[in-house]
Amino acid sequence: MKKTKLGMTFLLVISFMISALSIGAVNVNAATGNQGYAIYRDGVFFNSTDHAGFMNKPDTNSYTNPIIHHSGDGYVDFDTYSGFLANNTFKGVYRPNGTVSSTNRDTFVATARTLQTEQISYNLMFQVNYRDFEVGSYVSPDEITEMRCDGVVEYVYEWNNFKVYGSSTKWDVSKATLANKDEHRATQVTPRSQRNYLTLVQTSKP
Amino acid sequence: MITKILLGLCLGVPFTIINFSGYLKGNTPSIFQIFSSIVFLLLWLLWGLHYNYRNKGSTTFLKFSTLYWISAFVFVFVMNGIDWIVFSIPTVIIFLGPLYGLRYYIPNVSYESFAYISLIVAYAISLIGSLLGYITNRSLAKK
Repeated sequence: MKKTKLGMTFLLVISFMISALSIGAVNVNAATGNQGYAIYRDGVFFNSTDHAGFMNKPDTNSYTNPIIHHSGDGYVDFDTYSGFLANNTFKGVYRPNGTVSSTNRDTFVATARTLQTEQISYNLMFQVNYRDFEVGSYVSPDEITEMRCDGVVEYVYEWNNFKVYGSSTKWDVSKATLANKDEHRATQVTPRSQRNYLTLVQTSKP
Repeated sequence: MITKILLGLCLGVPFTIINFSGYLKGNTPSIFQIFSSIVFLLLWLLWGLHYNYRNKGSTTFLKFSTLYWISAFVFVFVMNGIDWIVFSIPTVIIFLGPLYGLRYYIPNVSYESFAYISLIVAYAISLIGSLLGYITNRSLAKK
């Protein structure tokens, strides 16, 4: 009897430790703070529109590479808060509409980090550009040839099934049809107008 | 006059291309972009100087320069008023882009104010060029 009780206690302790460890592991990966949210600042084209970026880390103070964006030079890449701001005015942190879980935000971050590794050049014309007819039903990160700054935000959310801009049938920029691509062309949506299709989280520095 | 307006528009093309990466994202202008805007202003100065030196008493360049820069001012005024990017993009590329390097010297004002200031500077430079051309012509004629 005593041995059974001891054995039960041992099992309980072990299962508790495993649970605690697994909860800890989830917490390590789960998005916190502003991680997985879109950020904007003004100053583009003599302030005709804004510049969009993506929060790679929970905040911009305590982490390296807090932001992923396309600066217009080079590729989609990590940056600091001051690099993103470039002496312009911060406009706010935004999240997709609807319920966004911590797990969703993890997938947003994972997608954005994949874009960062793909050496994607800048394009002013299309939010997301790729070789038409050379991709499958959906455009995966490795098939993207060029992007605009607001394309990074649009793609990350819509690739993960969170609608940002677009009609009910053509909203998904990651869907490889000419109609969907055209829906996200030129000035149909801009970084400034894109904010109207998201939910404001805060206007202060993230 | 139409030839001059076309020339004025063409003159800005290489400079707006050089400055594009600066004003595209509102980044601080590079040394090359600052230099580009200064050269652009110097060309307007030399244009006014040369024209009025060769055509003493002619007001053609003054009229052209006034028409060009006042038009730019009106375009920018409308651009700031209507906030329509389809109108803003060509206005910025044609009139404001070549002057973006001046942002280095005027960093702390709003883009709206900076646009007006840079246009006034460009117009003033062209007027100074005209005046210098007129003065040079007169002083050489006396000799």
